[in-house]
Amino acid sequence: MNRKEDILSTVRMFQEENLDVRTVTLGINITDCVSSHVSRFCENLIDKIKRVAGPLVPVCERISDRYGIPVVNKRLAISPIGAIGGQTDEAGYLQLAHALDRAAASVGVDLLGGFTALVQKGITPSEARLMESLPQVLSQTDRICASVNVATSKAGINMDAILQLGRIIKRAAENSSSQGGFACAKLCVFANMPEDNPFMAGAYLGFGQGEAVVNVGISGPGVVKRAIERLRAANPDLDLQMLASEIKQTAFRVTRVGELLGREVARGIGAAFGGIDLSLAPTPKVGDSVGEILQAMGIEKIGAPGSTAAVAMLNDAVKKGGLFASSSVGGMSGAFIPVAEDSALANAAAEGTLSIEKLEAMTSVCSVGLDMVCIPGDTDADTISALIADEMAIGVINQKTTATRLIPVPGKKPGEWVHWGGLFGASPIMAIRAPGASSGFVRCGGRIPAPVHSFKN
Amino acid sequence: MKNTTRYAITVICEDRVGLVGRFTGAITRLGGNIEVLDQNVRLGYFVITLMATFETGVTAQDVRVGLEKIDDAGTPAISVLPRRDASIPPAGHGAPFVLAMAGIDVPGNFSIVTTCLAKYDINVESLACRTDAQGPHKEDRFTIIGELTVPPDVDAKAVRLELTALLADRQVKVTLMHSDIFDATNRIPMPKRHTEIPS
Repeated sequence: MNRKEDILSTVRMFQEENLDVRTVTLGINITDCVSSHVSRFCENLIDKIKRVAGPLVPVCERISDRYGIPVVNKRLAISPIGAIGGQTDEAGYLQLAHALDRAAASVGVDLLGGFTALVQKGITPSEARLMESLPQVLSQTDRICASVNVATSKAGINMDAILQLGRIIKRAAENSSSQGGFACAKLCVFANMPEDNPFMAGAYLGFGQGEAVVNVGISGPGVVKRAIERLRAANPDLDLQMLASEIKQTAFRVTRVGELLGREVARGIGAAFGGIDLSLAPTPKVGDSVGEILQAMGIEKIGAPGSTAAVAMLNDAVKKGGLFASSSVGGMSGAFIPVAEDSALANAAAEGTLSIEKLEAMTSVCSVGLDMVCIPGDTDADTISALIADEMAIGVINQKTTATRLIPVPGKKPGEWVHWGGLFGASPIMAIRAPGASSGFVRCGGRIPAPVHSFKN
Repeated sequence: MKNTTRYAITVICEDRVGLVGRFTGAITRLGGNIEVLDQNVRLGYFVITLMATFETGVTAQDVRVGLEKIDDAGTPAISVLPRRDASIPPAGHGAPFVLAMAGIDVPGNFSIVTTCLAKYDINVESLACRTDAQGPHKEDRFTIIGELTVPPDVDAKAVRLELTALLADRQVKVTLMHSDIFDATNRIPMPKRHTEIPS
């Protein structure tokens, strides 16, 4: 029998603190769908997705009802299509994207990731064509998410790919100008991209992961925030070690919910259970914010000195709690700071306390990177490439995952807002210092070599 | 094997120090062997339930009289029932769930909840209620926590929704969740059946 206090605290996590399973993402190996005829390739993809992913949504709903745990999103991740596209041309990639979009809709999932290229050390012709197709793919489909891994600690940073992506992101924004450049919100650029990340837009099924794998993304910023508030109220002499311990214990409990549900879903659909990504993934909803956690920790204005240290402690405590709770922790597992998706971060950016530079510093100690950051629509492609290069350098040197989701919002200037609604939220346009002053560096192209400490063999 | 008679014995009386020793001593003096014992104090009352075997010939009345002598401060409520087996099969079949409810305290809450559970053949394994006074200008609030056995064919969500609808005028929040959730979030080992699935 659980103690009454334990029962009530678990109930509170679900009822009052927005704990949910943010996403159950089914990874599907599509390497056996490849055909030199695009139309056949499309048919194979649709058949396989319907067959393998057909039970996903009903099983998730049944288990969600059975256990009383909300599952917010059901999603798919496929093998990186850039690596298996063969002779497919840009038009062919667009055709594949539409087929995948229809297949995803037919099984009731909201997003599908895996329109992916892994180009950290070089770009194949197939991957180059896939990347060039992205502005059309992302602006003409509803559910397709794309990602490009341009750097690893082992390979260094592919500056040619980054240069190309600066232009691709500009075109994607222009193609979706009527939606505030929304196509760019579905494109992640990575360093050290994890193969089992269930969160979008960066989910894909890595080679060697198996035929069908369930990865679960669990969230819960609200639970962590309330735990901190309760601890502070009960302990006027609170020190940071106590705070870290409380976050760790909360992360443990949250992770357990994900593991339990993920294993049940995997069993229900006959797939392998991959792992849990315990990331504090905020939503625009008040009370579901990583920014509010920082405020609860005592950082009154997000972006003020101390913000980086607070994020570092939060991220580390979350990882420790997650790792103790489960031996299947993967993905990114830490704190996300996507500006548009977190109302407290967006407000801090609007007030000017949170700048791109401070965000960048914070990303060096937490998960992901410059995520859902809206920049002026007239930002030139080279500057976008330079922003990506900076973020990739942080990941490569620190041997961790970093990423960017930069959105140049057409027609918008610093301080103006863009509103997407739903999980994507709203954000002010953040100013970039000295735009246009990095071209001489990024246009050199080539590759930034791997750091000395990456050589382990 | 000797001929024996087994009795299920329950005693309730006001709690005092030393009662467990006195009752178990009385059983021993009657020649009984205690097989199972469960004792606790509820709302100030000492409650002991035990299963014991006695040599054939020791009647239920002998046991009752022997136990009545022990409590010199009052009259304990004593039940002595003959049993064939040491364990009683569970009344309900299905999965273990936890029910947690909180809302405005109005007479009839317990009855509404338990009547609804019975309709679905849900067995109540334990149920505890606490009422918190909110001061002169606010209505008192209650919290119910229960352990239930929910049959496999019962839709837990439907039960949850029905309880919520039945108690809608009392601003009641109803949680009905599988007990594995509580085990997983509050204990270090994962519930066993969830670790047996190959990953």
